[in-house]
Amino acid sequence: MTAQDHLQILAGILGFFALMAFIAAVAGILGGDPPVWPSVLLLGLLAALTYVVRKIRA
Amino acid sequence: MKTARIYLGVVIILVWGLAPFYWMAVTAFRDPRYTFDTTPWPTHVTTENFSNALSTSNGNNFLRAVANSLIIGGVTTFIALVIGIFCAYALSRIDFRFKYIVVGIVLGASMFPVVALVTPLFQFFTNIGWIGSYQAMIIPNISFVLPLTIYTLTAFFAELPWELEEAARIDGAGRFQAFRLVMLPLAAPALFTTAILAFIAAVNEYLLASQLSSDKTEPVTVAIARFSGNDPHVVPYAAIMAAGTIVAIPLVVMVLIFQRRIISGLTAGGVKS
Repeated sequence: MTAQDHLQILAGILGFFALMAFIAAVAGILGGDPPVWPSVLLLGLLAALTYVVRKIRA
Repeated sequence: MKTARIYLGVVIILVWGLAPFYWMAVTAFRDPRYTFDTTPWPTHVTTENFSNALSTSNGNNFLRAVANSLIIGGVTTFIALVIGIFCAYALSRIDFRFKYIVVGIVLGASMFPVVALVTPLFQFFTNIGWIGSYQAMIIPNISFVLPLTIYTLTAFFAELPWELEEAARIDGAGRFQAFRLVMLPLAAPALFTTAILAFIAAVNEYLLASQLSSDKTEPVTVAIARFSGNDPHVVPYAAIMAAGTIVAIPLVVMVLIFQRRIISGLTAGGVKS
């Protein structure tokens, strides 16, 4: 496996957890009592995912 | 000297690993009045605990729980294998864009903490009226067993010779025919190993089953935890140990019989040839 493949695996893991955080954030908002941590976690995961995707494309 | 140290290490690991099972078996065969006796070998030997474990007089139904575990484990294993075979074949044989992102998603799914899903699944299955049904345990179990199935089978498929598949394609077989008639029979040992591992993982699942099952569908892990004795205020440890021994023996025997296949399954793809 190449470094690109490793980065793709990392992107997959981050993407999966970002999707879960997104669902948790949306569910909190729709429930009427949104906690702040899913959104903060989503922000962090999206930042990391963006960094990884840019590394893959570079 | 070096050999002696190796053997010493083996003995320590064996004692460390087997001590809980040994203690479970010793307690299972000990008279319930001496359950807390700390003598390290069997004393006051009796089979009363086993008859207590199998008895239905205290509201326990151990045999039904065993049957439930077999149903849940069997169906989970079958579906996970069917899905896992195709996924593993695609990941090991077909080059497609972002293939490793799919591998990452599978890895992420296997890392996801089960406890985070208990409440949402409970709410969801309550809404659709599935609480206490077999499918409420089988469907989440499939998603937890699938990563294991996919990784084990991917390693196996990657080791199989490409030439056989190519020869079948040259002889006129389609991709699916080549897969079904050539690759699948070759992967039969791997399927068997994966099925054993998936079955053990599904049968050992406790957390979801403890919340999503009912009295009629509870698997053996939950049934043992909820065991009740003659006195509702006393936990029947001896009967629990007997039930644990009954459940553990078939799994231990199965692993002992197929240990070579299981080890080869777990180490497949670990070394480049």
